[in-house]
Amino acid sequence: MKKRILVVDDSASVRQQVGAVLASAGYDVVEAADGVLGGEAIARMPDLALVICDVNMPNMNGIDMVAAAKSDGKNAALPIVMLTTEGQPGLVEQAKKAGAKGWIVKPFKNEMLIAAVRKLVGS
Amino acid sequence: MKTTLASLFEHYLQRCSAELFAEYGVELTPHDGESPGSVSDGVAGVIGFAGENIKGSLLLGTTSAVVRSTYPVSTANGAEPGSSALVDWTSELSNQLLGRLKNRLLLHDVSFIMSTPVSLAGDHLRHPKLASANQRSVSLRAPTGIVVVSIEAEVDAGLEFRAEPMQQCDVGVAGEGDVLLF
Repeated sequence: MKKRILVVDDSASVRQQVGAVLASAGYDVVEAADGVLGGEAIARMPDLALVICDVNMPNMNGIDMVAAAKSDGKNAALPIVMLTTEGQPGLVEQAKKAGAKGWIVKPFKNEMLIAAVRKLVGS
Repeated sequence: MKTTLASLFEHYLQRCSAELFAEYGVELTPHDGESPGSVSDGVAGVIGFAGENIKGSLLLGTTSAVVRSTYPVSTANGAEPGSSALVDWTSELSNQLLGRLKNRLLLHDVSFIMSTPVSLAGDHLRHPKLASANQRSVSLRAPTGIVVVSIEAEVDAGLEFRAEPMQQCDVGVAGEGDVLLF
């Protein structure tokens, strides 16, 4: 059975881009368009293997989404990786403290994204 | 806007735009000629920013053809991306451009928070002549059209910045394409 990955980004193009890369690597991909919808998807889908999440989004930003998800003990082991244009050290630290497992700066290299995902969840 | 900060903006607008488009396989070169008065089939992305002593917005204006040439997703059966996909991607390009600019300015001790972008498309889009001394604009040529990027900022007198950039490793700024696993 394919491992399922949730991609949270307010850009449909980015969701499609990331989804295509992950699908080509053999993962099942589902999408959400902001932090609120991402949190709802995490609550609805206990079989998620990984979440890839933007930082700057409307309604709820990605770091707040991570903190909210991690406040539920059921998600303690769920790895969440931020995928963002931001490289500011303070934001990286905030995400780490909130419980994120990684930080990738856009634009990403396909092979680097796949390597990071495989390291966290396996093939 | 202090002159030196304005020149920093201009320098990085040009450099960051060229670097970003190159990531998507499109070469941008300086365009010294007249910018088009109005553009048919135009698209524009706008994104705001605000910090302790600075606030403003960045605008990326070009044509659908240029944005299409950077589109990173292969569509099924090779069909071209639709207009809504191109408008969405224009937002993302402006977001990635401001993010790249922010990462460079952090090395000069200039920091701000980014908003989420908006974009629009239409015929006869016109990029206005410089409206204020606080606006800086660069015009670049892509193989399929002209790209205009401008930034307008309000800067408080209290803003201090480094004229020379610090080393990226000293500041700890993650660079584009970096993957950090904790």
